[in-house]
Amino acid sequence: MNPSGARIVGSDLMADLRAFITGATRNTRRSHLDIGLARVALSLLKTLPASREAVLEYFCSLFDEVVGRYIENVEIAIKRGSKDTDIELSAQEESIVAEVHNVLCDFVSSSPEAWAPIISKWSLQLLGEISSRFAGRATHSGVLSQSLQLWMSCRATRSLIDITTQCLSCLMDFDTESCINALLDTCVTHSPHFDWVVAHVGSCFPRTVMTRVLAAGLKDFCSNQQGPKAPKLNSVVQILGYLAGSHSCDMRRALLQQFQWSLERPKVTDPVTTHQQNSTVPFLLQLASMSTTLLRSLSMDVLHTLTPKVLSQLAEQSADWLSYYGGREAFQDLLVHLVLRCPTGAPTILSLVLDCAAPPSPNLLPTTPEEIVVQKNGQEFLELFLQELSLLLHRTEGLIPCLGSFREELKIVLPLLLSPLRVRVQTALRLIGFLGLHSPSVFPYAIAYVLVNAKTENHLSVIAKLLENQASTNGSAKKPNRTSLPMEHSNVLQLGLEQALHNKDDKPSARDVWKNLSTLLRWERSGKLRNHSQPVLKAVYGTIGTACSALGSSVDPDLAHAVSETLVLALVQEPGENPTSVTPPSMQDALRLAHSTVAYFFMCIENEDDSKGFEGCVLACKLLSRLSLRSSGARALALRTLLELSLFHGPTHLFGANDLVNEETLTAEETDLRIMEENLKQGLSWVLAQRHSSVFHAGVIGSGLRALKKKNTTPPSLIHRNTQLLLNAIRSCCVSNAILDPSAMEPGAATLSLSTVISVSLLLVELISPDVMYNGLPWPDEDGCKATVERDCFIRRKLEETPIMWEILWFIALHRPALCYCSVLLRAVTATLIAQWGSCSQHRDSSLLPTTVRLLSLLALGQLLPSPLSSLRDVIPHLKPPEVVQILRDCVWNYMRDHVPAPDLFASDAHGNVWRDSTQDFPGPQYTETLRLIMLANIESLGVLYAQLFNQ
Amino acid sequence: MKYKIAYFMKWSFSQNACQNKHRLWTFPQRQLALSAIMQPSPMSDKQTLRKSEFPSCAREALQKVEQLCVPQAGGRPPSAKEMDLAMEIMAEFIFCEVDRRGNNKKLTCIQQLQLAQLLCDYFAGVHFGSGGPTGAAAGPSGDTARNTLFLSLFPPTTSKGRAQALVQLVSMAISTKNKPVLDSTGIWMQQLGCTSKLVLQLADGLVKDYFVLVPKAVTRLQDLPALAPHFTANLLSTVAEMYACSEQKDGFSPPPAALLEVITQWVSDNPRLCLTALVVNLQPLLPLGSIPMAALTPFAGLFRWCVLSPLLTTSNSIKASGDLSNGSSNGISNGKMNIKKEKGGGDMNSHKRDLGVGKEPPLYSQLHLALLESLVENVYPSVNRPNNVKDVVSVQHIAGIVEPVHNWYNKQLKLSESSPPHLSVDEHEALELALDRLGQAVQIALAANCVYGNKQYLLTQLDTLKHLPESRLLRIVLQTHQAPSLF
Repeated sequence: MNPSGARIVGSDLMADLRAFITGATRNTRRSHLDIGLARVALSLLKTLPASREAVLEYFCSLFDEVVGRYIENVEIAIKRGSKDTDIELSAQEESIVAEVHNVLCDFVSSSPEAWAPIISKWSLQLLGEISSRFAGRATHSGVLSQSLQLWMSCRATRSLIDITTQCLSCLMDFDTESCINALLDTCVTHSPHFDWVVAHVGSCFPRTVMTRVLAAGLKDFCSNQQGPKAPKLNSVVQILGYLAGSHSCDMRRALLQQFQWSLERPKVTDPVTTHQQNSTVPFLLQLASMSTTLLRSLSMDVLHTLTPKVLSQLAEQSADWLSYYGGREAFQDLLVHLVLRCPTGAPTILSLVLDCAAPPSPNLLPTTPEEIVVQKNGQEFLELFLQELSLLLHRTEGLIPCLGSFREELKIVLPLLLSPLRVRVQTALRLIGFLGLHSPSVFPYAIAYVLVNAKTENHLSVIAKLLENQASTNGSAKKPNRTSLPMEHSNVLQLGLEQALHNKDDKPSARDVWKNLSTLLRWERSGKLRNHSQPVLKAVYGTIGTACSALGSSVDPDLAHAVSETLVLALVQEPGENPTSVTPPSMQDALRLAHSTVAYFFMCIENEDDSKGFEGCVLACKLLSRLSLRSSGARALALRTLLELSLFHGPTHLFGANDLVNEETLTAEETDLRIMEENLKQGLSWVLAQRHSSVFHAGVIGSGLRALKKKNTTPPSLIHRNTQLLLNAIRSCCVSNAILDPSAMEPGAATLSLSTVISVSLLLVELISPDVMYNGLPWPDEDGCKATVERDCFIRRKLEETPIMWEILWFIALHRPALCYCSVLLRAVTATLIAQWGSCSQHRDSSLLPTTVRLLSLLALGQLLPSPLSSLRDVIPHLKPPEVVQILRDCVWNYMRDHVPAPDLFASDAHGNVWRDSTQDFPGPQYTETLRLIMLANIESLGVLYAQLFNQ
Repeated sequence: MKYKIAYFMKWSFSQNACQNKHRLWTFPQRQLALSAIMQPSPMSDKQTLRKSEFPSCAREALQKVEQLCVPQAGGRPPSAKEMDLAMEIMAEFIFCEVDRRGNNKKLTCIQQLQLAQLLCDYFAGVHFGSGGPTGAAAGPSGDTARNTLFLSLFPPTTSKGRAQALVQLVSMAISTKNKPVLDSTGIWMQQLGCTSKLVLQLADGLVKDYFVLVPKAVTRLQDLPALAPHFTANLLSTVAEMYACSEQKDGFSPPPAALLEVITQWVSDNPRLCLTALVVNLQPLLPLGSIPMAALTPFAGLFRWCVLSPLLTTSNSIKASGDLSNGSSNGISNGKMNIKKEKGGGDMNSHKRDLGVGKEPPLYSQLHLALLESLVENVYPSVNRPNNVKDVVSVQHIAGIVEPVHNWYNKQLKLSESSPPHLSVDEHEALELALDRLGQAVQIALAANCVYGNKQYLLTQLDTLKHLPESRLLRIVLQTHQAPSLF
């Protein structure tokens, strides 16, 4: 390059420079919008480094001008009322802005590390100035989204923002500190009008901006112990708050990172760093106290890293903290309010504080001084927190955020109820009380939890406290504006119980629930629960449906036992106890309960081995008697079910029944009959196979006697026990109302109600007799029996199969005159016996005599046969079959035929005992003569008896 | 609308507007107060100046300052009072650093530019001899007056703001090829010393302007040695020292590539450029009574570049990989790093260094060659340049290169993962190259007899390099020069 050329270039430059200076310093309004001048400025920027700052300053006024015109246009447009937002700049403005934008971008992209700091500083400052200068113009109200829209639709500011982000994206890699500081400083100066820029920039580089803003904020916070008065803090909070809204994940990570950094112990300790680390926690807390969004972010990740260990680590730092807040109380106050405002994570805080205040296990007890300090502070904090919470609850109507989070994470709070440590239980109780103020459903939930999980009495006592708590809550919640209806205790308990029972997680829990419930019932009985409305009882009554299904199912005997125990406690009153005011279960429930109880009874019978079965039977009897007293419907149902099951459908073999081979199977074996073979069979009469004439109770003609294929293998002792148990059950059902009032009852009076026993006998007839008709009381002529042979045989057979029937008859006979109603059964047995004794010469059945004796004893017991006929059972064993037939015919059948066994034969005495006066009702000689003569014939063995009967 | 105009006024002329207002309101009181203290003549000077606004008042003030500082036609040097007045006028009317009450204020950037342009014009203008910028041949009185004014404008105690104005002025002068300004700057640099803080600031500003921010403007620098050789030589020395500053950790931080390129070109094209500062006789150009300061040549500094750069490039390639692994683990620690970088004053360069990892740029060997040739040139001066200069490089200056080499070697051994620690192949090659260059530089310098100071000291220093992996050249050099002294 020759000197002259250089001169030309130099002079050219000088000319440009002069032109620029003249243009830029011209003092007229529209001077800056001169595109020529702008181009000169740009070329100067490229060729004359010394002019850089001046040119940038000129661009400032240029952009300012452009934005000013834009805002004017917008205002005019708004005045005109047009909603048209695309306000165009003039072509000149457009091209100027575009050119400047291009050139600056070129610079930044060509050598970012050199230009980016300069340009970004310039653009940020310019943006700040423009935003605050035009704040409040063009109806932009300061709402972030609105201003963002306004500014982003302006070409000039959009270009500026674009340049800024480009610079920052270059800077972010290696010079974040200065870059964020510039952003913050501008923000401090021009807040809040600058927020839109930060918002825009921040969402371009959320993570970096957050981390850096946090770091810068911390630095500002701890420089000179400024604390909450730090100038940048407000904008830090605003920026972070905005960013946390849209980038919560990054926010949380950044907060966590900073917190963890504060716990690091670097090898080289640098006083500034240590100070910053020590100030991190107060800083974060300050942030959280200033912005709910940040509080939420903070309570998500950082919170979960806290443990008592970490806290004691923090305790070392805490000396520095108080100075930021003006004392310990102010700091505590801040903390309490922060926790109260926590929308999530409050339970975590609570458990943390509890872990500190009352360590769950002794080996976690504090040892080092720091840990002891932490423990003390934890206790103090806990108390303060709860007090403040209750104060707040009773003062304000709105929801308290931390309560919301407690409600959401009730699962964390509830286990505290069962803690062995008093502090925890108390805390949980208070908390649940607070929660209950707004959402009463918490109580049932908590109660359910305790019911399911309680293992000791201490645990159960929590329920009592919960109920008290709820009562007081209801008391205080009775303000007119509360929408929630006050709930009854029982209601709460019942809801809790229902929830506990429908807890499908694990089955054994149901048993525990019932066991716990019975403990509670016992307490209530004994007056330990200071509560007069008997909530437990009401709750049990309320869930009787569930109880029934548990009781009736044989799937889980333990559960059934537990349920029965509870029900007995609930339903059966001890003598001398005051009757409860609680409404007894409804009819429907009573019926269901009766049915289930019977099912339970049989289940107990079947589980014969253990003593629990026996106890269960006793419980079932108690229940049955209680139910029968309460409702006749239940009584009838219970009786019918008991009988049906024990005689036919239930475990009949346990009561000594012989299961005969089913007729169906028999016929199935003989399906391949050939008519030819059948015809060849010789017989007395024309026999048609499988007709009435050929099928008998003893067997089918042609195929021999019906075989007893299955012998009853139940041991006799067991049969005896079961029989007694069944009779007890029946007796329980028949219990009379008199026992309800034991004081009024006379000593010898019957405890069973006669009418019920009568109904038992009627029921027996109904069940056993196959016919509906001719079941009346009178005995017909002996010839009349020929018409009823089949029925008689059927009845007799039933009796033979199910020995328990005899026992039931015996029970009935004891309660005169109930046996009268079983007349048809007795008649049938007598008829078959006469027939059998008559054919005795051919083959003698070994069971014949016992059956006869049993029948005669029964008749005697029921006072159907007066003396001396009542002694027939002692005579029979010594007689020959023809004599027996004679006696049965003359003394029994004829007597019964002539004296219809009806209840009016009996009379009631003063004590209510029903009795047949045998002295007045002495049988005539036509009935006794046969007996006397036969006895005389066998006087060698019946002498003593004869003397007793006839020599008076 | 009103608001807007008001803003505009404030934006561009706020300083003046305020000044005017103050003047209108407080003039009488001010006058009374001042007249009680000061003599009427300087007072009236200031008052006349205050009547005009910024650009014109600066121009008038310049003339006034020139009158005050430059002795008329070989008269006495200015009195202390006159100098004080000149200083006050400079502060208030030229650089506008203070207002009339002595409060600090600042020009807008455009005004600063205006001022720089005004100064350029003024120095290049008709006031200093009508012959135009013809270097040393120009009339001594004109150049002296100009230099006197320049030195008064930017005394060694210049404030930060004025230093920036100087950078702007020189930068503009370079762009516009304003020889008078550059000449004066060269003298200013030498008088202040090339390693003084102000000069380093100036050099840093210029490098930033021309090599970092606007690399396209570099073309304007190519003929700078021809235009203002003295300035260029001093700039070279300063820049060389700036990057070879021994305070830095590695004893050297690589300059921007563009700068290296330009310097290489300068030195290769103008073999005597490095000696210029020694050659020029400053005495006639200086104000009356001033003593010319000793010149510093860029040789030692630039040799240091060449010797240390291969070492740095290899160790950087290792460090860069380490940086990646532990970098950006925590934003806060990153921030710390950045602060340090800023304090170091060369964060741009350190970044550049990261980019140029791996191989040493070939420009260094070119530069090295050019330097050696320059030294040789000194021994065999060409016909039209008879001056043979001695005392070009000091012994201490060259010996200073040895220590960083040691440091580097020890550091590499410490970093080495193998045991017993030894250098990798790359590192070995780099060390060999560095020692070779050192040996060449020492040999040529000694041979050309342009080293001053205790040569034995240099040789002892070099001798300590013996425990490093052997360099044959260095051994020969040592043998050659040690032998006579032993006998």
